[in-house]
Amino acid sequence: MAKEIERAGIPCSLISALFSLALTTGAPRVVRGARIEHVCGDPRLGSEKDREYGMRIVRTALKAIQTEVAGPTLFDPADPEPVKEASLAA
Amino acid sequence: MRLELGTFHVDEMVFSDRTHWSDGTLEVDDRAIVGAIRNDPRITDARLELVKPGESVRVTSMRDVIEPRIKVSGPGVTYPGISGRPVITVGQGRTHRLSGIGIIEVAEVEMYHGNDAWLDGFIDMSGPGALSPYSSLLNICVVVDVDRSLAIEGQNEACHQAALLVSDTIAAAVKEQEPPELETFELTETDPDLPRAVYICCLRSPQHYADSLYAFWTSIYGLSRQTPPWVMHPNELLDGAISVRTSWILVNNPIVREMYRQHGKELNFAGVVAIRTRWSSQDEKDITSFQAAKTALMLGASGAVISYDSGGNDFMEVIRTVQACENSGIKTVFMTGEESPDTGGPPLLEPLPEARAIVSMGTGSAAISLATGSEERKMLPAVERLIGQKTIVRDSSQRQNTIAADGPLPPRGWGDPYGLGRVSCFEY
Repeated sequence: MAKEIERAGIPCSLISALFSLALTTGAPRVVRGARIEHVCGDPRLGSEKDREYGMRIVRTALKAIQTEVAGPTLFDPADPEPVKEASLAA
Repeated sequence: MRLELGTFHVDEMVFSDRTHWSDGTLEVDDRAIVGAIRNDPRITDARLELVKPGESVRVTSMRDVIEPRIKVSGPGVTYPGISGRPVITVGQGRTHRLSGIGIIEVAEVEMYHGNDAWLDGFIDMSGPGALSPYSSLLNICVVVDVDRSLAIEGQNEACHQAALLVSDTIAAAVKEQEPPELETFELTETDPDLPRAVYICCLRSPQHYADSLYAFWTSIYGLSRQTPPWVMHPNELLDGAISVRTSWILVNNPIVREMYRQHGKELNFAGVVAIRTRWSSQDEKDITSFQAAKTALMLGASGAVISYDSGGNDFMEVIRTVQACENSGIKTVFMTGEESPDTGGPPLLEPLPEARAIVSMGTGSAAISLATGSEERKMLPAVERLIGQKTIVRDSSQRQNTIAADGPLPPRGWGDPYGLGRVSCFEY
């Protein structure tokens, strides 16, 4: 779905717990999510930190759609400058 | 570790007033066995039914199929750990088995609360749907109901204990007899120049969906939960150390049998690595893959045969185990099912280039093996006798839509992860 949206000319962030799969299948902008059960947050953090973490993931996704990429690229919410090389896909 | 396996084949099975095996005929004292099952206060109803190949019978709510096996000498019990049985390490001494029969556990009890715990599968004993190995066995169905006030784990333990009671009672009939066939299994010292090969057996864990450490499903010494890789002796598998879904196929795993057969000829069988799949984060999946490859490497392997019994995201840790092995210098053969073409997706979820030797175990879809033509002709025929739940979902993805289980049914896929079935394919 992400690839098709990109093909239509609309930048698209794919937030995924299984980010390596998203990268190898060729999604251009992949954001590292938490777990399959809770992709955009982590209940173990407590509600306040969970919200903070969720916001960081969403902000990273918004940054990703504003970033030029050459190929499948991982954006990690834990990084201050969340852009990594596509080589991580392997 | 040396295991002698004595085989008593069964050609004929009848209910009788004693449980006795003689010259291929098995008599089963159904009344005594049902009485013993009902002694368990958790069991609210129990009966046994004989089911034979070629009969117009369908078995639904099938939870497990068990091959009767019993320890004659050596430590432990067969099918250790499951449903509270002793967990002593098995695989030594002598074990007796009855071949050609199956104990089918039938109960309308979900395996656990959660996805994929449903009992949608069924066994047809004749017709175009009789594709699984169980359709060729003389079967005893152990049909039970349990106290529904128990927690789901307790309901499952009671059902499985009842089925194992039948298996144990029947196997006890051949414990003191001399087996017509006796094989010895031992990983003897052999030509060190032969390539060392391991079998990596990937088993889905229900923990993620069940949200329970005690969910009833394929278990290693009774544990179904997510665990790091296990190093196992193939003899442990022959004694049922891995059981459920189904116990029968896990003790008759043709990969174990064939690697033993090739031991000292084509290869040096270095052991079994069992891993659990369906971890739910990238890191957990990657740990599993890296540790599986490391374990194989420490066993001295230069080759690995890898099988897995699931689908969906489990594929990630499995294909990454292939990748990690190849990157560690271990050549792999990957036995995998393919995603059904109906989904419109690729046959393999993540086709990594390191998987260079793949044996397809099919799509699990029986539909393509049936006659083409009208919709009715693509259905499995109605049956005269039904054992198990009376209605069944027409399609696993639409659970509210049920139909009569003894009527014509759309073919249901039977996964064949170890390659023991009779389904074949052609490329076109």
